[in-house]
Amino acid sequence: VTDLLGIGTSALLAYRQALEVTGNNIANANTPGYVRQRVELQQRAGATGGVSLTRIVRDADAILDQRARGDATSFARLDTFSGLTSRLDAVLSNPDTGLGRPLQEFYSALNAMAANPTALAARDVVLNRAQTLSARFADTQAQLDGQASEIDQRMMQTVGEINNFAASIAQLNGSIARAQADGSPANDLLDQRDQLVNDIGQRVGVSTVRQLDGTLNLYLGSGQALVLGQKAHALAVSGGEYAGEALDITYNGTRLTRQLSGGTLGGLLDYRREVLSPAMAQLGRLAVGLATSINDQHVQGMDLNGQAGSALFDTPTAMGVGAAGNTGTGAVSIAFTNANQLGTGDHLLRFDGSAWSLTERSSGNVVPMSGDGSPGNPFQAVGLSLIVGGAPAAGDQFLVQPLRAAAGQLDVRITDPRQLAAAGMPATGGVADSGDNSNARQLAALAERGIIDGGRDSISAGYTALVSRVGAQAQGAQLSRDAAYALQQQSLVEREALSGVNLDEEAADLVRWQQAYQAAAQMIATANDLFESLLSASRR
Amino acid sequence: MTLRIATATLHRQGVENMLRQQALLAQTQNQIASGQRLQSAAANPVEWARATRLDETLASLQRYQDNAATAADRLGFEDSALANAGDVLFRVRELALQANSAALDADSRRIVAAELRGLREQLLDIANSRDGEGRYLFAGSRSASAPFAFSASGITYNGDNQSRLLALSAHRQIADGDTGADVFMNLRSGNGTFAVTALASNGGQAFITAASLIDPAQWDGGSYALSFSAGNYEIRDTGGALVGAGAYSEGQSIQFRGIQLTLTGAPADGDQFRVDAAATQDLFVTLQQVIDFAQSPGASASERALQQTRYFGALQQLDSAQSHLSNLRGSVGARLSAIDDAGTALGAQSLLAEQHLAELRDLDYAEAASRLALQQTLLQAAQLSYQRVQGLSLFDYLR
Repeated sequence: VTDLLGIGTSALLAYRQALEVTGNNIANANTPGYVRQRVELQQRAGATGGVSLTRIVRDADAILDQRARGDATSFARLDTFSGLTSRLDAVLSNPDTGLGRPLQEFYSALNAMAANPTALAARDVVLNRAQTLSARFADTQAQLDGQASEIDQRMMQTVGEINNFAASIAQLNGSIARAQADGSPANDLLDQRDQLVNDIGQRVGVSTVRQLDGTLNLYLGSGQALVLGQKAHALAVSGGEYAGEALDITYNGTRLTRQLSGGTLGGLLDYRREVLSPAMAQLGRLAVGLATSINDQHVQGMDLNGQAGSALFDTPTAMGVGAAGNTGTGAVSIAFTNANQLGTGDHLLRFDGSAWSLTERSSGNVVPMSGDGSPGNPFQAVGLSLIVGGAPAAGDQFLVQPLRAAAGQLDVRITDPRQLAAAGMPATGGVADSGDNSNARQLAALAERGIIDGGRDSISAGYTALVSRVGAQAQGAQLSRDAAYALQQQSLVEREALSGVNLDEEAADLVRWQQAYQAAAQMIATANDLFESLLSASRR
Repeated sequence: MTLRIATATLHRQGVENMLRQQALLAQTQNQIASGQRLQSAAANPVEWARATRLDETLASLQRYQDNAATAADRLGFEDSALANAGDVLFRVRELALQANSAALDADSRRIVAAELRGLREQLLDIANSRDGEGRYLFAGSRSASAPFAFSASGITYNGDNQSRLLALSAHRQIADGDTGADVFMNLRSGNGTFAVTALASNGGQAFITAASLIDPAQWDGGSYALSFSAGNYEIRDTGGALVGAGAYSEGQSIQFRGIQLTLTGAPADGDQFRVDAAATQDLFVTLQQVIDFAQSPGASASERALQQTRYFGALQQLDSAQSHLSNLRGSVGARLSAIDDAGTALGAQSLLAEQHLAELRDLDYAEAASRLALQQTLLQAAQLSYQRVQGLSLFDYLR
């Protein structure tokens, strides 16, 4: 009888615990990161040992988790990248915000001025369209600048989140190590830590290594440790290598920006490098090409007052940006000389103590220059003229990135419609009120003339190339995003198939444990009955 | 196929199915609302770039069409001005013929001369006519002020030689007018090749009745003197070398260097006629010569003979002026028809570009509407299946 009581009690205890575990599963069916738990029962030693609940198992699989996290990292990168690229695509290809229409309207106004060179109304339209065009360039530049600063902000925010999560993981590592030392499984802590690792994985690509003591080390894709045991190492955000450049991410003072990949952070950095920066340079090149082509032609003409034409647009200018480590006081001023030679990449101008050299920033290739850098004989290369001044020290470097802000500088300088030089300048000198239209005709013909990219593309064609390039990037990013999404869903489903809670299953378990519990209770009642009958028998 | 599916997975998949269908539906809805197949470059970068290039093409075709219309307008103004000038010259010729009649009395002659002066004013007015914009048609690039003005030495032209061009394509430009210099000033004197004049000192009664070029190959553009002496004539060049000689008989033609002159009347000894290569002479001088002729018929027989030669010269110049104007009108007409052709071609190109653009960019509504219906059905199916699946729970049976 005592055996029966013992067996019944062990079963009652085991099934109550099993019911609790099932209850916990049901309660957490929708908790992110929760891993389904199940009980393992074992027969106790001896023929009448009863049952014992040996442990509560966490249905997790490190490989499935890792794959799900990796897929989530890829998806987060592509989702961010694709979202930003689609926004840029929408801005550039919308006819109401894009440059295509104002460009055509500007050239059409020049053509109308050629048809009627002395009519002030036609000239007013030219100025008006030039202003619209300049404003549209500035608007587009502002949109791109806005995205750049949004990326900076999101980088700071994301890095802050990563650091917080890493600190929490380090803390959890401590608790888990202690629990493991005590022999307790600490399933809830493991869930929390896995969820935090997933949260970091959403933001940047990481890899994990589980230690024997139960702690988890977390490394960036490039190998730097974010969490080692109970210690977290923070990422930091700092200003770019050159003043005014976009932010960099650093680790222990080392710039990591180019090595980070995956997650929203990877998406932001990839977008900035692959889409935004080239788009800004291309836009700037269009602005410079427009300004120089129009101005160069305009100054050859004669206005209604009989004067030679002056520049219609402000030609953008720029300064070389000194590196943070420069020790001298040198300065580099940049002017545009030949739009068709302009590339969209950045260059570095370096002083070695006696001579200057220009290199491509991306490849490090040396670009030959002519001239000596003086105001009278500036360095000439890649469509730029560079004048160096001040007292640079050996090893000083300057970033030559003149196109990045150029589209914002395209102001219209002429306000008096009479100063538009529609007429050609006669060899015999200027005459007022000329009805000649040869210069206006030349100006209007610039609509179809190759101006940038080695003279291959007109300004409109260059804009079309820019937009279709961003469009292709957006399209590609969208496709990759959708593919990554499917993969992520698939790995999530697989992970959930093991670790997720199925309520029907839990309902069945509930019934199962309840019935077992009831049977165990019945067993105790039976033992009681037996005992009662024994007592009453002995009482007689 | 996994045997075990988490409840959260079922829920998420159901919701995501609905969201995906909704996104597709929204995209179709956007297309239908805007009528555009390509919402942005990302929808199809290659087609989008083609569509944009077609936009540019259309804009430039529109510019050329505008230019064609402007040039046609201007040439229309010029054509009517040239027609009016032709009418004036026609009337001048009539009056010149009238003035040559010996029967004309002094009063009538004055009336004719007055009308001729009026016609000259009218011609000046035509030369100073303006286009629809208030700019002078025949001033070249100096179209702000009247190009023709009276001065002590006749009429002066203050315009220039720059006629305005308008682009009809990237490689073709057309002049939208002719300068006053070309129309009124740079005419040729005489018959356009050479001019014959009588010396004012001639005492005889011979005058020129015909002068024509019969062999252009022989004509060398030089100056020659035809002089008479004792019933014979001789022709010498400027160096004094004899070019031709013979006995003069009235009405019989004299030929040398590819030209042929016919004289009537008896010359006096020493009378001389000069043959010079045609020089530049403006239309107003020609008119002035007719007026001079009409005003003074000549008192003596020799003066009348001189006048006759002048009359002959003036008529020749009127003829060549008329043919000059009609040549100009022909050139204007040729340009107008070229513009017409170009306009037709530009219109056809525009139409083609618009068709291509519509194919690329415009939504096929029938396709979009059926797509919308399909997507609607799919969304409804997703909603329904979500509802059904979510309604299945073992807990429902454990009561």
